[in-house]
Amino acid sequence: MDAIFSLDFMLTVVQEAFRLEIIIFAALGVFTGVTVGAIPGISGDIAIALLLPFVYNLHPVPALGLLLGIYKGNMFGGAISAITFGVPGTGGAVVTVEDGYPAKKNGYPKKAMLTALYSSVTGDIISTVILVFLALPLAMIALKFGPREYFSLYVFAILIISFLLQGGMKKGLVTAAIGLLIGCIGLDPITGATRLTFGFSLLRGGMPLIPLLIGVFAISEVMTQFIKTWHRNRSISIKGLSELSSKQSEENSYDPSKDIMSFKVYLSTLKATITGSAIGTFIGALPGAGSSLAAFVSYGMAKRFSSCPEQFGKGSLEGVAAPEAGNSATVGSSMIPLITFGIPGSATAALIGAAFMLMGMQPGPMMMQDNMPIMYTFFVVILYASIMNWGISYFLIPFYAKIAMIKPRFIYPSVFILAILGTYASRNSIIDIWLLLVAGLLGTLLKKAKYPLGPLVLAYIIGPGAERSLRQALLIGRGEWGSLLKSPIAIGFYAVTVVVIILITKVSFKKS
Amino acid sequence: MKRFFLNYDLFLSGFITFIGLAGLVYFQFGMRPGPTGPFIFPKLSCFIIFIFGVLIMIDTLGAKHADTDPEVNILSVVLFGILSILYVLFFSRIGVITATFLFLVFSFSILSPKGVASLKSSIAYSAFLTFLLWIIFVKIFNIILPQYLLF
Repeated sequence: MDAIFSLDFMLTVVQEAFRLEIIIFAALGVFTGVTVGAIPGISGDIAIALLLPFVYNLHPVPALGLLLGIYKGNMFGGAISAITFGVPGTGGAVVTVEDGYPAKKNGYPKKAMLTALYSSVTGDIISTVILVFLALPLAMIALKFGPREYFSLYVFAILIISFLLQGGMKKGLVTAAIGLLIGCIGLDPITGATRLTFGFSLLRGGMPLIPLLIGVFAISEVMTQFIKTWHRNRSISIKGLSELSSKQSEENSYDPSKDIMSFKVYLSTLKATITGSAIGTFIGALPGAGSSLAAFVSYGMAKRFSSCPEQFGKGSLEGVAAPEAGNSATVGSSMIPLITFGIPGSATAALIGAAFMLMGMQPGPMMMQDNMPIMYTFFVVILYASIMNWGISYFLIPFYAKIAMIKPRFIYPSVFILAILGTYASRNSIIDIWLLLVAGLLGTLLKKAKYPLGPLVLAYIIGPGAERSLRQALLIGRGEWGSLLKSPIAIGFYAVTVVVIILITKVSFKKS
Repeated sequence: MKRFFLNYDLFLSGFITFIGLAGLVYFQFGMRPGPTGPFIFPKLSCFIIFIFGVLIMIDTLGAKHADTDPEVNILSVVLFGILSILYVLFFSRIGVITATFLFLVFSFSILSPKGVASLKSSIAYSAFLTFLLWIIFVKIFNIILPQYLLF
């Protein structure tokens, strides 16, 4: 513990973090993240999932810098198409449309775009600093947890994830249970018994991570969007297209001299930015809550605390700053439960967790202890990746605004091919491609009936840990389920779970 | 019965319930798990799937409107599935480069708006993208892709 506060350790970490190779990978990640974020329909999750087959040959720090760069860049990238076209590039940017698009129509797109960028970077830095300072103390606490405490934490995470995601609690729990079941395929890690292989020897090693993740995230999305584009385009004629383009060209006259961003403008939105950052950091640390919820709550709170709430919805810059700070602040904090307890705070964090596992690092309290230099180098990289996000995005905003105009008919088949080739490249196996298609089909069929896919992936990732804890706890308790309640911490987690579920149900009931 | 097959939400929840029940029966009677054995966790997962599958079925039966995405119809999913299967079959028979080029030309063409003469641009984009993928996978990452016909 003392070693990390020594000057030598800090110098080594900083020296390692600023190696050219790592800087390039982090910059590439941010660039990719902002680019895919600016294209509606392509999320950072898809980009991270597609890159998983390639990163595990890299050293952990540049690989994680690349993936975290995508996560960070993607959060801001979503605001570009939200402000330029009124089409959110990511789920977290849905609320940004409320004021970002009116701001553009009112004649100050640059101010709106830069407000989004500055607040996004501010929120991101605040939450990353909190991650850096909280990770080690929380990991130390986590080390004191036994199987009972861990199992209660897993129950808390799975239930909260299922309750918070869109699609409702019942559907969320069903997809989480499907994820847990898929995670059981293969040899039992404790007794070596074969489970759910149905005689296929290729499944003895379990369901491979890459085909499942890419299938559920990328293939199901591509399949859905492909089908939608196909249907829409069959009913749009050339006449319709020309009418659409002439409508788009009827833009308001734009005066650049009235659209200048200044420090004063940034200060005027600082209260909303701080509110969004605080809310985003808190919500991001809750398993499954995600960036959309953080953006919605931040927007609501910023409106409540604003001196001009009547301007919200009409192009208020505070209305742009709050959700952008909120969604970006979830990036760092969603890593807190992943790094300290091995429980991802979001679907994207689950993908980052998968990357840790592919590189031989098991997320959880021991990861911090066993890989102290790597983890602290990683923290320095994600801190300067936020600054990079500011620099790269600032320079490229004018170009990025045009990226959203790439036609979907070129995007989806290309992503499909990338998913297939990426999966094949991970193990040079055609069987993995078939598994990928099966996972993609499963995702599409569930998506059609509005079953959330996040719990499936999160449960698949944390399933083995949850199973190990449950069985160890039952072994300690001689097979009695009541023994799970013999720990005060575990009882505390179950109580918090019940209270949170009651609160969420109450809020949803009020809404409906 | 007719409604069961026409209502996708109901059909899916019924299928999920069936999987949960089948798993539960299999792990309860087909296996002999001890209280801490290897089948306790799959059994627990199947139990959750079964219980919540039944609850979703009840919700769906009482709902006035199906809670599904109307733009994604099952026929299109099947067609896309067939297209994907054909691509993967061609992938290992005629080689990745040729199969990818053909898949892209076909996909770009069917996704183009009605009346837009796009075959030329589809071929051009497909050729460019296939070349780019070949550079990335074969030249940069040194991945050996199945090669049979032409490339």
